[in-house]
Amino acid sequence: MLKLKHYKAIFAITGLVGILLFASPTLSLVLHLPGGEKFSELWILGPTHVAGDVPFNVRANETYTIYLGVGNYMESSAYYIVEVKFRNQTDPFPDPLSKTPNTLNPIFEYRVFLGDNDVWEREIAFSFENVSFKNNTSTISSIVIDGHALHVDKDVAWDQTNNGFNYELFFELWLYNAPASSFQYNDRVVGLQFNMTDNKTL
Amino acid sequence: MKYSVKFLIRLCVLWATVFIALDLGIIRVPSVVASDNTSLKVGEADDALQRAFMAVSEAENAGANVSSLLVQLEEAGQILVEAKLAYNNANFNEATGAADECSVLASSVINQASTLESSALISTRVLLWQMIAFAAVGGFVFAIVLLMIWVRFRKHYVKNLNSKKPRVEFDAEA
Repeated sequence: MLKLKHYKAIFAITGLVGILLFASPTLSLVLHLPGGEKFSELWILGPTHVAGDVPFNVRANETYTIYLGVGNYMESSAYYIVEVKFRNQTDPFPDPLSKTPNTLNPIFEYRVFLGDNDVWEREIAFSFENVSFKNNTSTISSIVIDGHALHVDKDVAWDQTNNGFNYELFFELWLYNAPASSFQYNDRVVGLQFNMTDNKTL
Repeated sequence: MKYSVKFLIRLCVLWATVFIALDLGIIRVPSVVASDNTSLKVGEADDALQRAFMAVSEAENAGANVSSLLVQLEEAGQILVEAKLAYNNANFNEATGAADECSVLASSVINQASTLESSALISTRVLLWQMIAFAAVGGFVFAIVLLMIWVRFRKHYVKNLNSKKPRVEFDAEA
């Protein structure tokens, strides 16, 4: 049998725990505990929502679709810009590990506003216009993205290693930083490499 | 002939002056002015959209549900993209119109966010007082009940202890 002072201690602890339980709703309003990891997502998927079926061998004046998505897990609403950039073999390569954005100018952009734990996904239609092939060089004059004709004027030489005229359409994620009142690169980049084929060869 | 050479020299000087003035931006042709005004409008729309997002963030921090405002911001963002594309294609009228539309929508979002923030702050304050009252009353009642249980328990404990005490019988004859 326990001594009376031991029972007294048990009652005191029970009392303290009970009072804390009653105060916990108030404490949850006043105290804000640190949350988990804050991050954002950026992805592209093929026309059937699968990563494997993104277009690779493309032709002029033919429309292709992909899905572009952004996920917000920043524990608050976020304002994003997805910059669309287009490069050829000689342009700088988008390096996901470099933590710095590609230096090319964007040809198009998407402005995305998301609540916490929300995702944005959009079907993007694109095609290539005024494509020419001459002396082992392919030139794309413009890309049409979601009905907007964008002047790019990029040419590539025949890539003997990969057997094709290889271009890349890539997407960079930028997040609005409220204290700095500016957008900052969010270290997220996804790319879509493709081979421009001559209509005659297919 | 002499007159025509003089005339040509004057023409050249005038042409050079106009060229230098254009280059330095002293004289502006209408398209340049339109371009500058449109650029300003697009920049203002961009700033307005950033301010609108800040207002929505503040309302959210105050506890307001801002999902409908985010939808409106998304719409304003798309209009801003249209304005930028039109500007890049030198469609200055279209760009100015879209930029204005974006600014108006952003201002509307700022007003709505401000109203939502005020009502959310009041709701949060009321909720906080309710919680404080619940904690105070609940905690007090719990403490009183526990104290009463403790008093009864102690009485029972002491009584039980006394009943278990060994009795020593007094032997009168001894």
